[in-house]
Parts: sequence; C-alpha cells; structure tokens
Amino acid sequence: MALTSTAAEAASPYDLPIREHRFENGLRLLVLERPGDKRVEAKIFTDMGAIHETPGLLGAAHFQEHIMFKGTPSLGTTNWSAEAPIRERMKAVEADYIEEKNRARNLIRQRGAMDDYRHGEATARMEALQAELAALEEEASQYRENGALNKWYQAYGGTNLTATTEQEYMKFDINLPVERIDLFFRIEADRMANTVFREFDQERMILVEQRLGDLNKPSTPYYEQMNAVAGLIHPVFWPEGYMSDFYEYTRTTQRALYEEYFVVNNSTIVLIGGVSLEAMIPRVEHYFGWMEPAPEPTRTPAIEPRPGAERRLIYRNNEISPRVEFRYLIPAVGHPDRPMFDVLGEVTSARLESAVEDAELAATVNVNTRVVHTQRFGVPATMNFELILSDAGDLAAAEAVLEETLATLGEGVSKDELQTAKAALRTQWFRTMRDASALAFEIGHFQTMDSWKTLPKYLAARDTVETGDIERLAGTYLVVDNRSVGIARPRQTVATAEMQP
Amino acid sequence: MKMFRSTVGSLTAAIAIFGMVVGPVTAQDTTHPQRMALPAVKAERPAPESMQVMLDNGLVAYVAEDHRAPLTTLTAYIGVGSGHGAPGEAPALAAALRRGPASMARDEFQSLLGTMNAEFRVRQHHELTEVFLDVPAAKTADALTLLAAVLSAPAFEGAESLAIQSTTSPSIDYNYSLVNAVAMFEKRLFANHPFGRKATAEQGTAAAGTGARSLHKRYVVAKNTTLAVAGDFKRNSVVKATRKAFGSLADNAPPAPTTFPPLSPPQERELLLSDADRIQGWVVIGHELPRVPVEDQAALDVMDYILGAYHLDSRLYRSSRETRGLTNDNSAFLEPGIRGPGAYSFRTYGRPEAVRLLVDVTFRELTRIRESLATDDELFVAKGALVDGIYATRYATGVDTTQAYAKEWLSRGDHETSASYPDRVAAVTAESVRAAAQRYIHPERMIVAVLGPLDKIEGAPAIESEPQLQAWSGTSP
Repeated sequence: MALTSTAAEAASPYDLPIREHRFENGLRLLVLERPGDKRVEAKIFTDMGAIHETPGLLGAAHFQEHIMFKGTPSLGTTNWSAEAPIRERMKAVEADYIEEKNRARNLIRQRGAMDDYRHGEATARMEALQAELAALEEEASQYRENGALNKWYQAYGGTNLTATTEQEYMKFDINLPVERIDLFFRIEADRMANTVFREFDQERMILVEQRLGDLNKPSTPYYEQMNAVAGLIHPVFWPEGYMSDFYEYTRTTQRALYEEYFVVNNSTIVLIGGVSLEAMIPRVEHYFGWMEPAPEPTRTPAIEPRPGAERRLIYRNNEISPRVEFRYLIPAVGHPDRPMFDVLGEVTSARLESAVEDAELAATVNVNTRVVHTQRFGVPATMNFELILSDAGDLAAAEAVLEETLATLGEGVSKDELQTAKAALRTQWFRTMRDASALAFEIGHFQTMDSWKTLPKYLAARDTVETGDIERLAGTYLVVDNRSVGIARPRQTVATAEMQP
Repeated sequence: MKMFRSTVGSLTAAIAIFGMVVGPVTAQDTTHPQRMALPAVKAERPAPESMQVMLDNGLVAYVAEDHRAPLTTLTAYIGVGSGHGAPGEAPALAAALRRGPASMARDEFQSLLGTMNAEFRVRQHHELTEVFLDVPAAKTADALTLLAAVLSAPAFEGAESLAIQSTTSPSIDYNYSLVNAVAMFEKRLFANHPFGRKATAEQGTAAAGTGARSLHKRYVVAKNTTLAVAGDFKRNSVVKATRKAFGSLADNAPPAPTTFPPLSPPQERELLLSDADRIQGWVVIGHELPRVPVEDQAALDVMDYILGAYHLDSRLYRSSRETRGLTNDNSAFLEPGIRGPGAYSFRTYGRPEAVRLLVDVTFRELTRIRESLATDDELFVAKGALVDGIYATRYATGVDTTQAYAKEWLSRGDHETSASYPDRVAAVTAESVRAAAQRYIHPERMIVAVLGPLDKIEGAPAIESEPQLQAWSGTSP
C-alpha cells in the first residue's frame, strides 16, 4: 500500500515541510519543495555502510561506492553483448582463484607478528589466475566508455557530483536543473540494479591511495587506536580498512554486498528544490517501479557494552602533537538524551577555552562526537573532549584541566551559558538549512539512523535543555567508569603515570 | 540475484513531460541520456541592475533577498591584493582587517563575533581582498555597521606578529603536503614578481607601521570596493541600512588600476625536488597564465574542462585514476589573473612507485590536447557542464549571485562578459579548443615540482617504461 504523508510539525525555526511517499516496492521518496528554485539537489541513500563489513574486509562498503561509478550494461560500454561474455568468464576465473587461495591458505597465511612472514606469497596457479583476470579486464576495456555515469550528469548541468560512504549509509549526490531530474532517476535506478564491476583492480588501488592519504596525517593511527580503546565490539568504531584488507576484496564478496543491500526497499531518495512531490511520484515510479522488494538486509546485531572501567591509551609518537583526550560512551540518535549532548558540548567547549586560558596552557580545545569521519550515529558512540598541546610537559596539567572542567558540569550551568550554546547551535543549523546539499544530507542521514521525522524534533529538543539536564548527563555519562583516556606524547617523554608500579 | 531486465527505452521520449501519469512499469527504462529528450535549459540569471545599488560615495553594492534560512551574508571585495604596495604592506593590511575595527580591542571583536554567532574571514589574493561576514538575519544591521567599521578603520595595532606567514609547513602534514608542493611551484613561478615577493624583516616592520595604513588610505575606498549583501530580509530596508553603514567609507579616488607586469617564464623545463619522508609524493606541473582576453576565455575553459578541471571525468582523471589506479586525483588548476598574470598548473599525488608515471601521463595528456581535436562527446559534455551546470549555479541563490556580481564589477566594471559567456561557450569548436591548448599550454617549459620520498620515487621499477624525474628537466623531449 503506497502512503503519502506530510510532516505536521508545529511551526518552529526547525520546520521542515518534508513530504513523503512510500512506493509499493518499499522505496521512500522525501521532497522538500522550494518553489521557484531552478535547480534540485538530489541524493539517494542506501541503508548500508561500514557497520555491515567483515573483519579482514574493512572498507568494502566504501569500495562498493567506488565500484558503483563504473557503469552498467547500458552506460559505460560501447558493446555490452561483446563485453558481457568476458565478464562472465571473469566470474569463473575468480571462482577458481578463490578456490585455489582457500586451498593454499596454510601457505599464504600471514604468520609473522612483527612482519608479514608467510611460507609463500602465492601459488603459481594463483598468479596465473590473477594474470588471466587482468588480461580479461584488458580485453573488456576495448569496449569501455569511460566516465559512464559522471559524464552525462555533467553534460546536462549536474554539479556537486559526489558520493559518500560512512558507517551507516552510502549516498550518491547530484544537483541538476529541475527540468532534468529524470536523469537522476534513470541513472540511479540503473546503478542500483545493474552495476558492472569494471576496473576492479585499478579501483582497489584508489582505496590504497586514499588510505595512504589518511596515514600521511600523523593523527590517523592515534585516532584509530582511540576508537579501538573506546569501542570494544561495535563495528561503528572500526576504521575504513587496513592496507591488508584492500587486497582481499573480490568481485564475489562485493557482489554479495551489492545484491543484499542495494535494493529498492533499502533506499531513500531525497530531493530539495523546485520540484513537487506530485510531479515526482510518477517519475520515480517510472524508473524504479519495476523493481521488486528484496528480503530485508542483514543488520548488525552488535551492541556496545558499557565500558565498566576506565581504559587508557598511551600513544608514543614523535610526529603527532601531544594531547589528552577523554571519551565517553553516549546514546544514539533516537534516544531522548542525545540532542542534549550537542548543548553540553558547546557549553563544555567554552568552559575548556576559559580553563585553558586560566591555566596558561598553549592548547587547542576540540570537543566533538566524531568516530572515524561521522558525528552522529544511530548506535551509541562517543563524545570526545580533547586538548591538543604545544608542549608535552603540559600533559599532566591538561589532564587536570579536563578532569576539573568536566566535573564543573555537575554543579550546574548558567542560563547565559545555555543561551549562548543554544544560539550557536541554532545558527549552525541555519547554515546547514541554507545549503540544499547539507540539508538533504541531514534528512537522509537521520532517515538511515532513525527517521527523518526525528530531525526536527532533535533540533527542537536542543532548545529545551535546562541546567538540570546538563547536570544529569554529567552525572550519568561523564563518569570515570564510562571513560576512555588517550594520551599522545613524544617517545622520549616518560609520563609520571607510566612510572607507577 | 539481480537480473538485467528488459528495457523500455522507446517510452521515454513520450513521457518526459512533468506530471504525466504513467501506468505500472514492469521493465526498466535504460534510455541513453542523449536520447532521453531532456529539456533544454535556458541560461537565465537575475538582472544585475535589479540588485545593484550605487552609493553616493561611489561604492557599488548588490543586495538580494535569500530566504532559504534566517541568515545574512556580507562579502566585501576590495581592489587591493598581495601584489599592491610595498612588500609586506598588503599582508599587514589583511592582518589589520582580521583584527577587526580599531575602535575595539581584538578580544572584544572576537567576543562580539561570538555573541553574534558570526562567521568572519579575510582572504587576500594577488589582486584583491575579500572580507566575509555571515550572521543570523536578526543581526543584519549590526553586521553592516561592523563590516563598515572594519573596512573604514581596521585595527592596525595588534599584539600578534605581522610577519608574513610562509605557506610551507615546517613539519609536513597531510593537509599541507600538496600545499607545500604548490608553494614550491609558486615560489619559483612568481620569483622576482610582485605576486611572489616576501618582505624582509625591515620591510615587515615598515609595513606594520605606516605602510599598511597608507595602503589602506589609498585603496580601501568606496570606489575600489564592492559589496554583496544577501539574506533573509526585506531588500528595501537593507538597501537603506547599507547606504547608512557604508556611506561614510572614504570617497577619494583610488589609484589607477595596476597592470602588473607579465612573468618571465623559463625557456625550458625546470625540475624542483624536495625530499620528504612521507608515504606519498605530490606533484605540481605548470607555468604562467598570461592575461586571457575575453575572446579566448570560453575556448580555454572548455579545453581546461576536457583536460582536467576538477571533476570526475576529465582526461587527466581517466588516464591517471580510472584506467590506471595511480592516484585519487589529477586535476588542472586554471587561475587567471585580473590585470596581471596567473598560473596554470596540474596537480596530482600518489604512492612513490606511481609518481614518475603520474608525471609522464600528465605530460602525455598535455601533449595530446595540443595535438589532437577534442571529440564531439567531449565538447558536448564540457559545454553542458560549464553553462548548464557551473554557470547556472553561480546565479542559483541570492548569496551566489550577489557575490558573483560584486566580484565582477570590481574586476571589470560591467556585467557584459558574464552575460555573453553562454553564447561564447556555445560557439567553441574542436579547433578553437586545440588552439587554446597550443596558446596556453607549453609542456616544453613547465616547472615540475615534486615533493616526497625521492629515493623511493626514483628507485621504484618502471610501470610503463616511464623515465626518471630528471628526464623532465631542461630541454629533453
């Protein structure tokens, strides 16, 4: 039964007149109409991300996003009937390769703890099959029409062409002239149904490059270690792939991910601009209506346990600026306490700035809820309070400042502090709202985390936070047994704490 | 298991009309985009005169309502940049603008910005300076007054050093690695030119003393400043507030527009190497961009788009990333000047063993675009992207439009150039693209800047018989 509804939020600064339509096959369409706009921001979200990955294949969701730019039988080839048999042969060769790799597992298994020692790198048959795969890709490339999806988007006025994969979603974005919105539906339906895994090994190396880029930031390994300390079991804390993971992806494993998650009933289209819901429903029906709903995809059952004891990371590294960080497990979007943490974060950030100044510390204050790249989650994650220092000699003083400042939250917050925090958050939201792309992202992201209807309530809830709420949050969540502490310092500095028996 | 479905491509042309109800669809529509009968889009934009306000002192402002959010955005463009004045004066002026108005202590200004929930920044380019202030709409009048105060009388006295910040970072961080390679390139490119000079300590002191004040007095005047104001307000009231706030900005005539000398390009390729213990290498290849006459602009833009302008389907992107998996990005940066030279560079990065091939592939593409004609598909895509996409979004919102107009008025004093842009792009041919490449790309005398782990870059086995970096030095082929 298709359902069309209109949000009936009370008029407020957070009013989002989103109109929704659910198609019979489960596809969700959300439209925020801006009459008169000549363009439309279009995004399609899939409820799939890094939390659906398998250890050893981390980054596979992100890799899938890359592969989904490689075209389909109708876009990206000059002769699909000639290319298709080659692709079929590749499937067979890869199946042989996987079988041979499994058979040789005790030869190629990594056994070194400090190095990558293994009895052998690969069998001759593995190498031959890899060479055969490369040769088949080369053969197929004679039919390649590059830039398959991108070039037509751009030719017809598409801008903001991008895609993002994070822990709980993947999205594809485009901004088009309103008259050409059909192009979005045509391309995205095709991408969802018929992606051809072209240039698989070339794209694998792009993930390697992106990982190298991350690792060039000295802070990356530190934050990954902190995520591992703060998050015991939930995949939301896993990084976007280790170097060894990228070489393990196969077309077979990626195909399984694609088949399970990139289905019409696991997708949400968000449109903002000069279009109406009524005009869009038949267009979406035309391009996506033929798709059958698939079985509900697998969801991670993982639940992050409460820490129960303080955990501590001492990270010794000469490249990273010294720092002290406290992380606390906090609830997910959808929990009534979660919006209050945005206010608590603003208040604490301001207090830390003052405390750092009073203590005459050369420190940068960083308060956030980021895990890997994302700030908000539909699962419990962390709130992070970090002081980045110029001088490792200030580490003990910085930890004391963090400890003392966070303790003051339990003693109350002034009305002025609350008002300042709320006003700052309101303005931040307005800047998001002004940008159609940023707004469409928030709508789609909330939908994957909980529901788009949560978003205006979430924003409004921040305005109702009172001093008692902050005191309660501090007393409930910002407690030592719910804390992970990170200390990054140069190798040559011996921390007092480490000399304790 | 997904199956490739039968298609109904022939239906599309018949139903490409909004609002037309279609019946249940049982097959996928895979009509090729070029056969979808997508409607033509007329390149329309708000009339500049409908937004323009001329103050009595000569300041030109563009004021537009933009009701997407309860915010107001102010952007001032001043015709003074790092190339103006004596060495150090312009950066000292930018620092003074960043400190806020002279009537307030620095802390007081910062506190006020915080109270207003404002975003404030000052960016200085070679030939102009941008001052940006974004506030909640309720603070519009205050913001106009504050910005006018900053421009009229910036705080030249300040505690922080006015020493010119080097763009290079002492310890290489990911975020600065490509920046550092660009800095290497630009330091060489703009050597001995007003755009590349660095103040000595003595010059910096003089600039911070009276030099910056003198520069301010001469250049930060109404007739050398344009203003973009857009937000959630009633236009008439904001026009009045703008007149009131900026009416007192000095109305003395600015100096005649400076025409900066052209660069003296090298006569052969120059290789700049910088060793860095990182896990990737960064490459910047390029040379000067002379002043581009209007009649060349469209063909140059089309050529640049096809070759490597930042997007996901350029020749550089395809040859480096898509088909070879060497890099996350290889893009062109076309940076024309206003009355002086600009730069045209090609920037990429990758694992050490890929760097030499990236340089080689980049030069191959530079040669190819000079020697062969663009395809019809390439022209079609580039023209659509430039006009229906990039040009259209420049005028999509009040903020975008006022900023585009204010900047153009300061640079050109009219809006004819932008008005004729769609037609000029439409007239571009494969031959004019090749001519633009031959006129503006000179592979034989490019600066090649490479920053990274040089031993690993040089010691890596060749992937495609690519040469060592030294091959790109001097007059080798």
